[in-house]
Amino acid sequence: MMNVGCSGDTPTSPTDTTTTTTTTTTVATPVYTEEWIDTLAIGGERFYSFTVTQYGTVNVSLTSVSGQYVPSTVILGMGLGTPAAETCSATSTISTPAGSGPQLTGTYNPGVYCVIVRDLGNLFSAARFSITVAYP
Amino acid sequence: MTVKAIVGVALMLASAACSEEIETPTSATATGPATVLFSGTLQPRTTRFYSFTLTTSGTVSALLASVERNGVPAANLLEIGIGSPAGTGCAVTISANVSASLIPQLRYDAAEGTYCVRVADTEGLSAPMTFTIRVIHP
Amino acid sequence: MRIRIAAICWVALLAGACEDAGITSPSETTIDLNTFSSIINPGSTASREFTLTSGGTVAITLTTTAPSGVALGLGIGIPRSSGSCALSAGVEAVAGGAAQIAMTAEAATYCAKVYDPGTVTAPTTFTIVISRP
Repeated sequence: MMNVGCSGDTPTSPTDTTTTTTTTTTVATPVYTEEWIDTLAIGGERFYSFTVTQYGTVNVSLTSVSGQYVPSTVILGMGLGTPAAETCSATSTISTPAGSGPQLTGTYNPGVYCVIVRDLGNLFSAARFSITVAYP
Repeated sequence: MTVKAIVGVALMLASAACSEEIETPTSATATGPATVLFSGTLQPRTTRFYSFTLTTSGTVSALLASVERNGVPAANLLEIGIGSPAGTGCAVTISANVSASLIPQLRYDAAEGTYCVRVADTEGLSAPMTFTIRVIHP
Repeated sequence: MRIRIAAICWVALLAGACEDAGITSPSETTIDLNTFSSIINPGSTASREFTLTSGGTVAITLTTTAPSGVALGLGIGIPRSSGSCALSAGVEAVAGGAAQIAMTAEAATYCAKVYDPGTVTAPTTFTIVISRP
């Protein structure tokens, strides 16, 4: 349109140029690893909080479950979210047995987050579990 | 100028004055402080905590307002603290052993982020007690 | 004369125009938030919320009971989410002229509670006066 309007004139104002800048966000890899060993009661839930210091990947692994009358393959509920009220408000959840993991992963901004593990109704006695949390 | 013309002009002016709209600025939205009520039963020698998030910086106040047993106020001291959720608990930055009051016992200037208020029995309650804590934050 | 008539009409029109715009004088409604009367049955409680717009001393006076001479529990606290009143302090008192309980508080919402401390054997009416800054 500008060209049509100004076709007969010699432009005296600077020519506009458009520069496109692409910003690449660096996703930090986990730097800290914490192991959380705890006991889950029948019908219960437990959660563990940690602080992410830079935007990056968080990996959560349910590495083992054991106990009397507790199969090592029992499926537990696990979630990743933010502490709220007296619990952990999970935004990502999974039902999973223990394994090498990670069963939950995602990229997160700096802030306080939490992992929650809960009995989905599969426990007949308290279970000892181990979770590894790796975060930047 | 005739009376009719004057009346007409006056009517126009009056209508304009009384129907003038007051525009509310849209660039700024005022939000008041948030109130959190944390209430429950504290077993002897245990702790409980409650997490909350600040979307803007400001002063957080914590009030241990009530310690009761069977609905009757008790004078027991409990430890209250403000901090950040860490591990399986609340890592407190400030704390105090206090009895129930109507004046906040703790005030903390905090940046945006997630925090927690913790209540703990450090004195050794003789029985479970019902506590109520009010947190006011920006 | 024409100017006088015009002025009168202008004022009248302004009043009329503003009335048409929905502007009316506020009507005054008096609500007595300082006196609370109710009935306590054996084992029961009654509470009333109130708000302080500025800090100061809050005092509760149990002024009357019927039957007279019945000692009631009297307390000040904050409302829970459930609506019940979590007491910060409480006393057992019979009706009298002076405040039986007083506390310092900041601007916020509170509650006054009357409860049976184990002395109520029949429905007992009561009146308390909440004094606040």
